[in-house]
Amino acid sequence: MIEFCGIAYRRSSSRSFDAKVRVSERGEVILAIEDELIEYSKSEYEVEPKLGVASRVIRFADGVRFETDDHAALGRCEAFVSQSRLMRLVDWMESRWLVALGSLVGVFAFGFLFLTYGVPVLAKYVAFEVPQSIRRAITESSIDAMEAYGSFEESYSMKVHRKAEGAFERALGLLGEERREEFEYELRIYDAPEVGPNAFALPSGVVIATEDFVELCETEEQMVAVFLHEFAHVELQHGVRSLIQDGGVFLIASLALGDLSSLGGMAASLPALAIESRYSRTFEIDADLFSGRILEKGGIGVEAMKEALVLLHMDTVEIGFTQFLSTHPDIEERLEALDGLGED
Amino acid sequence: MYEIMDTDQPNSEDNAHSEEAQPDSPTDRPTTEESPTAPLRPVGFEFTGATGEYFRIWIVNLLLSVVTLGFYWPWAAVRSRRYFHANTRLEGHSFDYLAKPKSLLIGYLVALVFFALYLGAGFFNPFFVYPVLILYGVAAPWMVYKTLRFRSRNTAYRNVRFKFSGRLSDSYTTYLGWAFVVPFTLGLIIPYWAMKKKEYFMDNLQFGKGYFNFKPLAGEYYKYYMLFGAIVFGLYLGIALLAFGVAALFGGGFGAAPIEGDLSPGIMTSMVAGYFLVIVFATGFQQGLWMLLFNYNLSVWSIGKFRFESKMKLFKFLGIAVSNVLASVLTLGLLVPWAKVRMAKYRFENLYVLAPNGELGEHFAAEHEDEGAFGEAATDFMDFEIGL
Repeated sequence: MIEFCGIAYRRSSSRSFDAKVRVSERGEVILAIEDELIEYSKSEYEVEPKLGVASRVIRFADGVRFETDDHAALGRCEAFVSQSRLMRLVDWMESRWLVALGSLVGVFAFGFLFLTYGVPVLAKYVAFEVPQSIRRAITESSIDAMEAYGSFEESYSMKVHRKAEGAFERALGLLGEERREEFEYELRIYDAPEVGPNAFALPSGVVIATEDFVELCETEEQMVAVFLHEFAHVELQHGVRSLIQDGGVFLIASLALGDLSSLGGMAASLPALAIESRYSRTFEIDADLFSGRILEKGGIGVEAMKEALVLLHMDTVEIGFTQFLSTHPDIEERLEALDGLGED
Repeated sequence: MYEIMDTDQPNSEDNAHSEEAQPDSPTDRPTTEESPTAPLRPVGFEFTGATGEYFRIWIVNLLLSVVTLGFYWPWAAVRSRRYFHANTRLEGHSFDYLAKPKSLLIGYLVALVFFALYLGAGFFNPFFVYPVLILYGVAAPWMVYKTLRFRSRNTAYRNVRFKFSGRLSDSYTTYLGWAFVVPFTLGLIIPYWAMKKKEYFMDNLQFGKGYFNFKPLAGEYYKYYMLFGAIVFGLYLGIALLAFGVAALFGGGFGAAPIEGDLSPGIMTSMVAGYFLVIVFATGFQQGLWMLLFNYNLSVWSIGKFRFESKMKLFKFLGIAVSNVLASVLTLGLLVPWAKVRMAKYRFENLYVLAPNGELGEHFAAEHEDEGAFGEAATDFMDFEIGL
């Protein structure tokens, strides 16, 4: 028999009374309030789960509420009163710093593993299930946005078109049987001086190259190498995968910082960007290797890919912070990866 | 993820904590007949939560939510909310949060479906999100209504529950109806609209049988909105150059994986600086305006003989709000519990009930209602994580 004092309120009444509770080993409770003794069986009350050092509350089925600060006494009858077992465990965890630190490590470890393995695997699985019609829709809306907001004009230079289309056909020929049927490869050349030399791929198979890029390439092989790199983005569906991954990352970052409510999304944007840029690095290396492998097989050699990389990076200044957040790995890192391929 | 008593979000749930009740008289008018001359004296709130304790609760529940892939979330949310309720005290009596995790689950699942729809639609085509947003717009007033009911019913003080008696149709008028008026008034109606939204909650709240009265003046809302509008406009002009840097980035950052796309250091730096500036100013603006209006709202709120006062100071409050956000972001969320406890402490330590002779008394009438055996309201089971 364990006894403790506290205050009690009757059903739907704000008036408090000094009261006493007596708990038997079988979990029966007797409440002494004013001159009255009320008996409750184990199913007629519920002890609210312990929560930090906040007062303990017992709720009775008839609407009476009992509150006590005698944690020690309630602690002694914890085992036989009626309450949630799960919450007892949770409270046990919450009241220990060691468990809290373990949880902290656990949360970070889980977050890290999920972001490193879970999200990419999930995204890859989904990306290849996406029908081509959806890829076409994504591609078209990207091009619309590009034309509307970027300074992109379709190129009318015949010289540039001839040069680029020759390389494009050659790259397609090299891709050969590695090409999946559903992708509709198509080259579009834009005059976009503000963007500078650049080429990129959209999910349905449209490859966009700028005039500056075509003019920058010294040999057709360099251009072939870059187009193969872009085909790799399509064949491996890097575009759609990064869309899915970025969505997942943003969701996780928002959850982590979501406590800041409406600012959560905004606050999450920079950490999310940092993680997304890591994904992007992986994709770039993968595309380089894909291209390098086909170049080797086709007798052109991986050198063309390396030359193109150097050409495209010549005007970029690299500093530490840029390296960390950049969407593309350092030129050195990519060149080394390609070297590894050449040695095989 | 654990949104508690919106220490961060200007809205309603906190209000549900911050009041006291009225005497047995069932009328909704302040009555002065008992003691016509009794002077009103402040009775202060206390917040007894502790950072270390709440940190442990937060991190353990976060871990459990994460390893159960989110399914534990309602349990975590209840625990977190209960912590803030139980540690909010008025005259030594704490508040109760009575909701059961299973009741939160439905609202949580509905929110998940909406979010999945939104993400899914945006993934296929950015334009597909519009139908989802429209659907959300139509459902939102109902969600607000359900949430206010749920949170009020599940908050109690001294064994007496709060109750939200607003009507669903009024929620549609307030939250959806006024939205259509905004474009025709060039947005000039927004401060008034903000007031109507507050009124929907604060004027329809009951404590037991006592009704709260909320009698704001639109002019005060306009005053604060104009003040903040002017400040924001000035700042906006000041940081326009930085915004240019960010815009330049967006100009170049579309499409999937350009082969050559390293961001230049200049753009990177201005983007990071812009990010922090936006966070600081957005927080400052949103929270500062919210605080001034909160102080004002409390001053025109009453229940029976009782009135309210919030004495938060703008710059002190902004210092806390802005440093909270920065600290949380820079520690990847690690300091969120510290930030929340700190904010709750500041808010409640500046919150008072003005009671005749400084006596709250304890004879508040409660409604006898259909409640579950252990006090959970049987009728409502919807709660949404929305900024009200």
